[in-house]
Amino acid sequence: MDLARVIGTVVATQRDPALMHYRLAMVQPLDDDLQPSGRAVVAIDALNRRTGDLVYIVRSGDAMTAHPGDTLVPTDCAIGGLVDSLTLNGKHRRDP
Amino acid sequence: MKIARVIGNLVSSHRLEAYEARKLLLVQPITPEGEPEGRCTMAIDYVGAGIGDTVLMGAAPGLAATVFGIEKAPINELIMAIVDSISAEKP
Repeated sequence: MDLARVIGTVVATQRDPALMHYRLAMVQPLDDDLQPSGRAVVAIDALNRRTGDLVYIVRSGDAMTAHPGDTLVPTDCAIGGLVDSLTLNGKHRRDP
Repeated sequence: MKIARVIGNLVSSHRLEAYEARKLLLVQPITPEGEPEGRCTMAIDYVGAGIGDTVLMGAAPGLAATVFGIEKAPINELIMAIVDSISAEKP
């Protein structure tokens, strides 16, 4: 699971019915200095986060279980939650 | 499973229900000699680890669901044990 920044939204009118009710967010994975690391990916956003939010993402098949309830979401990346604050290498920071 | 060192934690009140109130820790995978290897990642804590601890981290798909009997487990990495000591010979 990686820290990531929500950098935008993906609009897709025509999509698989199983994907119909989810917001699709563009997220940029971050390294431990909160700097961009690797390429941006599209994530299922069941928490309705906003652009600019610091979040963490789940990848691979495990992301399919990201939505509460019985349904599996056909995705390999999902937002797991919003970061309120974090302590890393002894430094405490609250996300701006 | 990987050996990792806990280097941070994060507070997240708005999260997926499946995580319940579990602790979220930032971990750095390390070699048996204690050198950092690869990038820092986030893991869900199941054993009560804290910053500075060396831990055993599992990361196989579906692992959390199987080991802990959680039906819905959107979890990639989870902390499964706190390491007391390691002895390893160089290959």
